Amino acid sequence: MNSNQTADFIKVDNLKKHFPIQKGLFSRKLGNVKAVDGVSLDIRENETLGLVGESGCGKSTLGRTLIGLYESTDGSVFFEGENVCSENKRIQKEIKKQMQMIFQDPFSSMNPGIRIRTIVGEPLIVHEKLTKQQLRDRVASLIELVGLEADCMERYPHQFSGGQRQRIAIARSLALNPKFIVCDEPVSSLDVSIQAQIINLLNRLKSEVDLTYLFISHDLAVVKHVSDRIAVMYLGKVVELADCNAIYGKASHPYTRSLLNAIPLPNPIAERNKTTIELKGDIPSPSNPPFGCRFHTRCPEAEEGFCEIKEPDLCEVCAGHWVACHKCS
Amino acid sequence: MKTSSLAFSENSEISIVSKKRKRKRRFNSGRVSGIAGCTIVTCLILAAIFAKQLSPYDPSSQSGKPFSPPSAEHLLGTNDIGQDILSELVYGARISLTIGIVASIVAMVIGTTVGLLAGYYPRVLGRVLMRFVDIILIIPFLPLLILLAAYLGRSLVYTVLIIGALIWAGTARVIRSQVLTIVKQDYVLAARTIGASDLHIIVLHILPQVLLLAVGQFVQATSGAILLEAALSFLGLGDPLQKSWGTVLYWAQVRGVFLTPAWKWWVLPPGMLISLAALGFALMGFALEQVINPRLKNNSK
Repeated sequence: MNSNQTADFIKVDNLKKHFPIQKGLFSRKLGNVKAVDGVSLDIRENETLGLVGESGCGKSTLGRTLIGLYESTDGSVFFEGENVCSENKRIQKEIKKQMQMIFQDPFSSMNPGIRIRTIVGEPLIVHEKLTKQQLRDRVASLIELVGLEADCMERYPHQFSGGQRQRIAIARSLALNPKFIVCDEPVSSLDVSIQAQIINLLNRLKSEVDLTYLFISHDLAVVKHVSDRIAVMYLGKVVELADCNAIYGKASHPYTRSLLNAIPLPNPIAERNKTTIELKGDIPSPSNPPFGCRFHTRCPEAEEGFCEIKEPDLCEVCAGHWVACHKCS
Repeated sequence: MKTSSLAFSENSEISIVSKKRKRKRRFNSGRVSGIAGCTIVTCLILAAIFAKQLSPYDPSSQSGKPFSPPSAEHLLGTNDIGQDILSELVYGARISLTIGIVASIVAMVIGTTVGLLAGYYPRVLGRVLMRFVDIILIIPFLPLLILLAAYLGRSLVYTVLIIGALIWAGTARVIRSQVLTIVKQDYVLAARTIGASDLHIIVLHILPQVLLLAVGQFVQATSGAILLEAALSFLGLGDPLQKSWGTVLYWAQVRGVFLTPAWKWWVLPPGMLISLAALGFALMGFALEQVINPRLKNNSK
């Protein structure tokens, strides 16, 4: 791999993923759930890009489409200059080795019927022809890398706690020495104390093995802790993308501001005196998103006759700070 | 039913107790039927294996006067050419059970393969296969069975294949529905992220989890296969050289025994053996299903 330019490590260009709604005897197509609807962003090498948003806004779908787990409806993803959705099977296989994923639920992401040795070694079995001894050694070193004892290889998943299982899942994702890992809410099903352990492990691995993360979460505190940059998604679109400090310091998009406003303050007096930004209503259906700015139905700052007519583009308001809002640009 | 609903409305504590008792009774019923089924099947299989030692005479040679009623020498009498009926039945167990078991192994293999494919590729292949399964399920078995047997000829291999080809559809359905739920699990998705091939995913993640289900289906299918074999042989479409229980009945029918007093020792015993074998496998399958079937498992929780 020759390209070490940090700018174009991963480039997502107008990516769309629509799921058809089918019904009836002949599977008539009734419409599309536009889970991801035109997302453009880039991920720099060796950074952690946090991806936040409400449930159902398309965070996970974006992550999965990004690594080629779902076929994209439109748009493209480039990994080090190579198209992830490439027709060429060989290139696709090479790229897949470089991109891995950690799932939210460490209980369902492992086959309960097979041993840890096989779970962690599965990527190696698929991609590399190793002897039994080599495989054992590799698996043992991976397990030690994530802070578990190597002798747990012969055990089954149900013999481990949630945090341990998530470590095993991390070990599995590291097996092929990937450069990019999508962490799909890797800590949201764990206890708070375990969350810290796993996040520290991910941070340690990032510097030790040179990783780049897309860290999907709805927990803003966690994202703040791990991310270099943060992208905020709403209804299939990125509405704000900026450095971690910029997001938490001077968020521009009304949606981001309301998200941050919802974090309770540690000081009870300040919490009591806080002016809350309360959003009206529910998140609209992604099969029928509102016309114009998608957020205008709930936006406290929406201007009639303007926001519901034209969809705002993602514009750079100041260096490295992108916002999709008419009010800000 | 009535008492438990009453208890529920009156006192939650009582309802918990009655629920517990209910679960226990249910568990026991599964166990009793399992033990009964295993006993029956084991006895029959042992009889088939040790047929030579158990049967008093060679079933294919004349050992007494034709049409003799039960006596000390011939416990179940003799048939129209003087062969000992008891010996015929003991040896018949070999044929009946072999055909039943092999046919349902065939059915299990076909059903599991079709179920796996239909569940793993649900869009096009799955739809085509499941419509085919529907057709197989709709077709009345016996007429088709007779037609096929008459067309292909009377041999052991064909009998096995015909029966196997007709009873796999239920297995395919059960396996498919299980595969559909497994495919949606995160660990299958994780395997896809790794870049694992479909074959790898099926062999490592899916097959081991449906295998138990397939075994349960196999035991239940055996019961049906034995009955179908008996029906075929009774109609004279079995292998004429291999006498099964159904064949014994066929000859009894041909010789008009059904209308004479001889039915008590010539018709009743093979009929009961067929029922017993079918019952044994059915009971075993019933007990197995209570342990294996994920839907029943969830209900009992």
